[in-house]
Amino acid sequence: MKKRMVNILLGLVPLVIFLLIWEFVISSNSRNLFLFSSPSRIFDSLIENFRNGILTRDILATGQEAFYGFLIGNIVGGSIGLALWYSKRIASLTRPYIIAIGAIPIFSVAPMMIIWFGTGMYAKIMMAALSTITIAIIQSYEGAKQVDTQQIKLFQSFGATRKQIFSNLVVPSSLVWLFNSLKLNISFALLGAFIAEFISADQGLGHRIFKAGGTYDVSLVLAAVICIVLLALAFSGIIYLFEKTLIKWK
Amino acid sequence: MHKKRSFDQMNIELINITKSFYTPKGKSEIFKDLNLTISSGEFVSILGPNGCGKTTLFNLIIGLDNDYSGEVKLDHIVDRRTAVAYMMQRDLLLPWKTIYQNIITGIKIQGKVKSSTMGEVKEYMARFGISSLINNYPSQLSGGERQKVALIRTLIMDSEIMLLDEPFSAIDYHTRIELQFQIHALAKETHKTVLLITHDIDEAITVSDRAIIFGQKPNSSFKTIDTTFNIKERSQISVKQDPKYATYFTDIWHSLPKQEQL
Repeated sequence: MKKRMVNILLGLVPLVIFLLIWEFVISSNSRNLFLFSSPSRIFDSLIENFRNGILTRDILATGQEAFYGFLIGNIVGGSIGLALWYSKRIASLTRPYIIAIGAIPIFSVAPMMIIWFGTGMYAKIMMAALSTITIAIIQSYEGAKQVDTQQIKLFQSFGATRKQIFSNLVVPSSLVWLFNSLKLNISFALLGAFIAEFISADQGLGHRIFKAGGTYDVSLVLAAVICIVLLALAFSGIIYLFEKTLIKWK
Repeated sequence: MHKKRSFDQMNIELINITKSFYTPKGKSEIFKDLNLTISSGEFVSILGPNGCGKTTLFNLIIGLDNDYSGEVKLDHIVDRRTAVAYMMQRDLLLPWKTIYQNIITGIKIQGKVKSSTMGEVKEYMARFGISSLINNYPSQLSGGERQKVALIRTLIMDSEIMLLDEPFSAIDYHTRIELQFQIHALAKETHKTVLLITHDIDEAITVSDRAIIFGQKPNSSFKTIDTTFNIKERSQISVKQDPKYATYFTDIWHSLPKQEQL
């Protein structure tokens, strides 16, 4: 326990050195202060914008958009990926399409999403969902494909139907892969929501960064970046807990 | 062909089986007009070189492979899927299920879990000395313990025929000896038909009534060596003390194709 504390403290040393240099060396003149801001100013900006409720509202907006998009993308993508296990032929036929869709830069479809779903929350949720769905499909299909053929043979020797094999063997043994896809997709969901906000929105961290950048408020830009990182960490924490309760046999 | 034995009821009959595999190199014939009869309640070991079709034979009997010519007959059996239980070299336990849940996996699939199941599982676990592990996960067990669980999973299905594909080859010596005698005793108590694939001549003699030995593929016949003893209770020592043991061992040894002996 003591050793762990020491390790955590040691890990913080480079960060503290970095912040000190930033604060006292780089930001010592007003030109650099304008370009790079400083840790103390960012901190002030964080406090101020949490007090007046702007960042709180933005975090909630981005968090909600990313969360719903994440849910939709992973549930739909995960189900498609697992279902592809049923038919090798359909899997191999759809594979190039899935890869092609995955290769589309998510930024390029954002204008369309806004035209289709408006400037409100739906477009952002759709963007978050779209940016997570391909990884969910590919990961869950890989997971389903990795199921031990001997294991399948054993189930067949029990007389299991394909449906029984799917629900009793394929789905549970793909769980590890599904969780990998969830972890990867946290940042993709946030990115999707963020890009949509960046293009057109009246709230959210993407919107805040776009606006603050326009008024040369570097402190607020970086304060919002910190909020995104915190959001990602919070999501990771939730998934970690979820994984621990679900995969308790490890 | 082996001579008709004292077991009166015929149980498994393979008639004129021809089976080939198609590989990138071309057609590879495994069996050619093979005939084999296993009587009800008989314990038969199957030996032979790698790739001679031992596992294929099991797949034909259990119905996992239907791409052959000839006929596989299982007498008095209506539902093949519950009549034949299969056990492999790897324990194939599901890591996310407890030992109890793992043991009932097969009967659960077949919808045969009853109120008495828990008691039966406990009885088997006590017999194999692993009672305390019932609520553990497979990752907490040793290799030998895991294989015992896999064996109980096979036994609990209470199938008339058990196909064992090298189940004891990857476990430690002491557990192996223990399991060999348990399986022999259980098979005789419950009058099961058992087919055991093995590379171990000692194992074949110790547990079975008869050893059949395949040669290099394609096989259209096989050698049969009777491995019965006039001993009341088989044990690792009693079998070896019997003068027949050495004879059986030598016979099987010489029946195996040359490269398998080395």
